Amino acid sequence: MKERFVGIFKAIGRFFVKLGNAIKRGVVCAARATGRFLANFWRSFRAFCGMIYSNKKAFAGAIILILFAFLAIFGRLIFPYDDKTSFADMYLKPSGEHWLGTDGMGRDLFDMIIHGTQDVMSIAIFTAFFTVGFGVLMGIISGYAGGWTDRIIGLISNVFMSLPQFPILLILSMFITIRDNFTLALILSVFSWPGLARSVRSQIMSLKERDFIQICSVMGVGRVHIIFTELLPNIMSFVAINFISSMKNAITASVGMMTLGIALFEPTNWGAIIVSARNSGAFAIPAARLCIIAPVVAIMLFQIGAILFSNGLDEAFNPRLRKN
Amino acid sequence: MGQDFIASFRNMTIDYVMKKTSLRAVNDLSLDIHRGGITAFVGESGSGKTTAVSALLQGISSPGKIVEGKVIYYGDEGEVDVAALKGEALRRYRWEQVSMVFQASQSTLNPLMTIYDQFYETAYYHGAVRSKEAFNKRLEELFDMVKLDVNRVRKAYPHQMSGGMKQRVMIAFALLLEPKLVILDEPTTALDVITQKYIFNQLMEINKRLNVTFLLLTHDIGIVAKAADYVAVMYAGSIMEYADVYTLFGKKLHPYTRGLINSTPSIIRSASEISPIPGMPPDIRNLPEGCPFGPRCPSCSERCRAEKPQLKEYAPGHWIACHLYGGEEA
Amino acid sequence: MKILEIEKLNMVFTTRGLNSAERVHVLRDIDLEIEQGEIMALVGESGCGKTTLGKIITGLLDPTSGTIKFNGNDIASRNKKQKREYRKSVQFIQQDSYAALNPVKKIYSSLYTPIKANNRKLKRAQIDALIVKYLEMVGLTPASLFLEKFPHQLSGGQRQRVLIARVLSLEPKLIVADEPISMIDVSLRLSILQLLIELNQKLGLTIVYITHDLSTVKYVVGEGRMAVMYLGEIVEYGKVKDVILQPVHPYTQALISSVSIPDPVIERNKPMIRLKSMEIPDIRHRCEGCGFTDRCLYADDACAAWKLENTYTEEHIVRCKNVQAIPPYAVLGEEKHE
Repeated sequence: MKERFVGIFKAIGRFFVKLGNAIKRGVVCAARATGRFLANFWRSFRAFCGMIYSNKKAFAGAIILILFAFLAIFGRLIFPYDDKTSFADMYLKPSGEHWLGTDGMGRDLFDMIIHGTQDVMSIAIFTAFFTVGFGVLMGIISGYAGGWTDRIIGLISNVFMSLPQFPILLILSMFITIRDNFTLALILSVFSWPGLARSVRSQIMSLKERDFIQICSVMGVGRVHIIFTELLPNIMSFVAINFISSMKNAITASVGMMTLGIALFEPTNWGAIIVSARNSGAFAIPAARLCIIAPVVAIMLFQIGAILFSNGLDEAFNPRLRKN
Repeated sequence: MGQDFIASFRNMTIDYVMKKTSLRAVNDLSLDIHRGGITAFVGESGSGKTTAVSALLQGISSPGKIVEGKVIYYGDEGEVDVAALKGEALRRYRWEQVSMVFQASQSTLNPLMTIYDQFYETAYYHGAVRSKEAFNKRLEELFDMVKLDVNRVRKAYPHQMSGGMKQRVMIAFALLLEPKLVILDEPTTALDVITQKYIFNQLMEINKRLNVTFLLLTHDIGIVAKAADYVAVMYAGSIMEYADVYTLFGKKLHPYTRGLINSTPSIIRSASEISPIPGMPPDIRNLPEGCPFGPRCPSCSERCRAEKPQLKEYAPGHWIACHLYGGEEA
Repeated sequence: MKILEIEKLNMVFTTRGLNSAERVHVLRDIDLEIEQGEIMALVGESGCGKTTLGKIITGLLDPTSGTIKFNGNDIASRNKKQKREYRKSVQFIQQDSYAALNPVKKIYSSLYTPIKANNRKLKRAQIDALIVKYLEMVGLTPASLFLEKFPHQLSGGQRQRVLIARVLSLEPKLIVADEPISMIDVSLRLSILQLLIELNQKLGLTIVYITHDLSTVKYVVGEGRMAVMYLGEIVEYGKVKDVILQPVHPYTQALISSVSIPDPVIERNKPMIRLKSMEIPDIRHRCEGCGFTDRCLYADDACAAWKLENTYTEEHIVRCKNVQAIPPYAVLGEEKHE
């Protein structure tokens, strides 16, 4: 019995040593690949822009996304937000001074939405980054290694997938309040990586049976090399599409988190605007409807942009469609 | 005309019209198809053989269009201008007069229906089901013709059959409504050698027994030698030579025909007897003036480069499009 | 000298169902010897195991039992470095040239990766020179036209040449070419075969040519040898001219009589071979003895249980129990048979 445990521990130890080596090689390989990527970047970037430009959907989506990115970076400089409350200016109609009117505390609604863009975008990007990074890593490991590794990762991802998200978050909200976007993004991605990991896994599994991967082992090309220079480029467009769509999902989810009260209330976050408008009974006040409509439209616009862009990417990158 | 021949192409030209350019897939093709025989159209991919013959079913894939000439089918009620058929007439003409076995047609079977249902549906749609018994009898007859066990096949789904069986089912399916003309588009590609041979033996037997005309599209010279009665050699959208199979193989007059036959490996030829046709396959977007085969032809002359040879009757029943055999009058 | 010797090789695939495991015996007691510098043809219909055998030779699959000797040494007993050497010396040309190239990589990097992986000390400029050299060797001139192309921008024939260039860049001793021409346009096939023959003659490369197309065998192999496979075993093996012109095994006879000959006079007058059934039976239900039993006209009750043995002559091996009783067959009829 004892020997068996020692054996298992040794095996685990060996596994980690191997894993360490693989990661080390992976990092070196990835660094080299990145170098080459940067060297080719300008050329590829221009080709990419050309491709986006020729695809109407992708182009429209790109315009919307660029607009949001621009607002997130420069919006606060162009439209400074004044958080002074004044009940005298409550629910003003749209005018030259207040383009979308004011909210229940007399703040300029348009400025609030612009101000909130940065938070919304950073949550979205962080979440997408974590989701895609972790999901792709797990998917590749489990798809390429197969066997026990695959089963264990499969089990973990199934557990995460079957966790009831809302009840757990409700319970969590009694104990913790998230104060920064980074943590919020981490929590959001905990629930979204397994789906991506699964689809990456199935892609890797089918790619690994393809002739051009099989022949690599006959030609003496190493495993790390196969993963980073043969497999990864083949799923890159898929990853890019998923990045965009998990950004889209993160925005909706983060609004939900604020409504639940798990995340700290940032008054200019689009979700928060909706929540506070609802709490102050804006549904009943015709003049206040804009306080609901404006942030919803902003969310929808971003979603449409994300959907258009990712669909367009799919069309532009799919080699089967590109072949002709 | 309708006695000896079953269909005619008259100066048919087919273009694929695209936004900016147009491709000439078939160029001024004229040919009469012998009733009851097996006529083979042989050519490389892109030679226009499939496009030309699809015109017989109004089946030219879009954006292809007949821009000149016509296709005539000699039916029981006289000449039929195929391109002018519409609605009910077209529906009756297709499959009841002319049917087709498609390339890799195994995949045209519906995977969710039994063979029996697929046959029944088509027959019913064409009003050919008089009674269940009569239909069952017809099915038995058809499967007997392709040597399939009717009891085994009728209840089967496509995935339960091998490629060879499916292909024979498709042949039976093409014969279902007793058409006069059946187009066979590479009917045995992707099948094994023994199966291929077996299917061709059956096809030849059916051809004799039912007196149905077959149009065989293929790139395989060996199959032409085995099965065809008449051969039309196509290159870049034009017929280069047309003759009965013995004359064509025996004389090998046209330089392209000669090249095609000499470049075909065979188990009875040694390597020194086989020589490839020099040059690259034609690019139909960019054909030379004059003879399309000119750039690859060993006996290409000034005249070949300047003037496209017309298909002329060199000897009775033997047509050649080549300036070498043009006679004096041209 | 023999470059490769295969003895008593067996391959069993196990497919796992929900609660049962099915064993499929796809290769049975394969014996094969390949001489240094020859082209040998491995012929058979779909499902006969020829591709599996090719994959075993190239090391993509490990056989269930049997020995493979490369240059006289058993490859199973080799150390890591020797195995690596074997891997490099035996290369594989796949059937589908589109699937064999990474669709998102340019031709240049598809060629760069394997060279770099096997020669870590080479500088980039040296590798570039090698790539150009091999592309031009296979007739893709000027090489600069092809380096920056993606696989889908080339024709089937050009892609097949790229594959051959990639294989050559590893300086192999033995190449297994699995149906190298079946996916390309008919008019380009002959030139690819010519290239293979040229490589054999100029570089002395040993080539195993796997095909279902008997017509090309004589062209490619010439005076060399061929093996005919059926349902996992080699049923006939010998010089091409013996096997093709005087086949002995009933399956080979049927196969050869089915190949059409591009001459209507010969084609329509050649003798026919009849079979009990046209369909190749499912390999999972194959009997332990001769796999051809259910289709063979000469089979008797003992055939299905017959212990597979090689008979006939030293030079012309046939695996058939009733070999003496099979009437001779000749494609060209009686007059040329004497």
